[in-house]
Amino acid sequence: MTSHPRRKPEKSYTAAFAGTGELTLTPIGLVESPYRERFGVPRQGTLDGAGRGRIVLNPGANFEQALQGVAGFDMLWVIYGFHLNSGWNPMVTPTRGPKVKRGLFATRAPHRPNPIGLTAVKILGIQGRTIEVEGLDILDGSPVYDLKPYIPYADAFPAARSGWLDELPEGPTGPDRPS
Amino acid sequence: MTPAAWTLHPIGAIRSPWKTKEQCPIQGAALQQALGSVELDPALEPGLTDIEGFSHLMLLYRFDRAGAIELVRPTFLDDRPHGIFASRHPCRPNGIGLSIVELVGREGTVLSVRGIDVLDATPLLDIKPYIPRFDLFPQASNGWVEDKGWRDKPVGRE
Repeated sequence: MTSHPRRKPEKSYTAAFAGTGELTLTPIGLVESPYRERFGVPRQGTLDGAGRGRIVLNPGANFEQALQGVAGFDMLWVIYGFHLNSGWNPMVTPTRGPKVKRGLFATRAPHRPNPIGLTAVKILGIQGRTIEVEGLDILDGSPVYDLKPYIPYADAFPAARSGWLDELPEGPTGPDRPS
Repeated sequence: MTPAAWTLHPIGAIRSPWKTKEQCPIQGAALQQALGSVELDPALEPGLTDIEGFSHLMLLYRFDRAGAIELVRPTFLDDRPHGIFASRHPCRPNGIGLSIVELVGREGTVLSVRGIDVLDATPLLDIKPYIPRFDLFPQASNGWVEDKGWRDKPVGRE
């Protein structure tokens, strides 16, 4: 990474941290999904009845209690690990549109410096420490690190622009490029 | 291969007007105009190519000053206890925060953002573009938050 020329003097971004900044994650559970291979996983969030599966939290950790009140929400953010991916590049070629490299942070590509995934899923039901969900685009067996309620006032921005996705001839909701 | 434990390293820092937990607003309303910035590691600058086309960004960060984890707790908006996974409260397993902000400008690896509810000097873990196709669910229910009026943070509540 140090080979990229710097156009500006280095900012004191690390000196700004109040703490060490390092974060050690421990899974709170696992995703059970129909997707066993990376190539079989759909692009995220179609919510057309696809991607049914479960989030199973670890036993013996009182996570049943931690789910109190979750059933009152329709949608849930799942924060998980892209655990089969390693390595990353600052420029990537998305699976949508023409074969053009885009800046990594302008994509949802799984190969990232901190390969954390974020997907909004629909809650179908909760029993004990198991949540039935729809709209999964997550590999079976992926480690789950957090669940947060989707709250429209904090998470819904109807006027948001989708950058290069909006500019595709087929529009922002078109299919992947044929391989 | 599921890693038992996994160590993440920040890729930058979030700067905001909020220097203390008391100053930091509750997520969502009343902070639409709060300006802050995201300072990315300069070595990662190529990764920001094309980002200006997105009006909103999802920031994943570390709650580096959160108190002890409580699985069921009163929240900032309600004195009744709720499960931590039914809340966005910082004192949670793995301590990862998520905020969606408006991108208003970029200079090199510094992104100017509006609507920031994050403490100043918070370690940044990832930036993802907000894509309505994946992330917009305006009809989703607000759960227990629905009938909560807005209020200031209860004094002394971690």
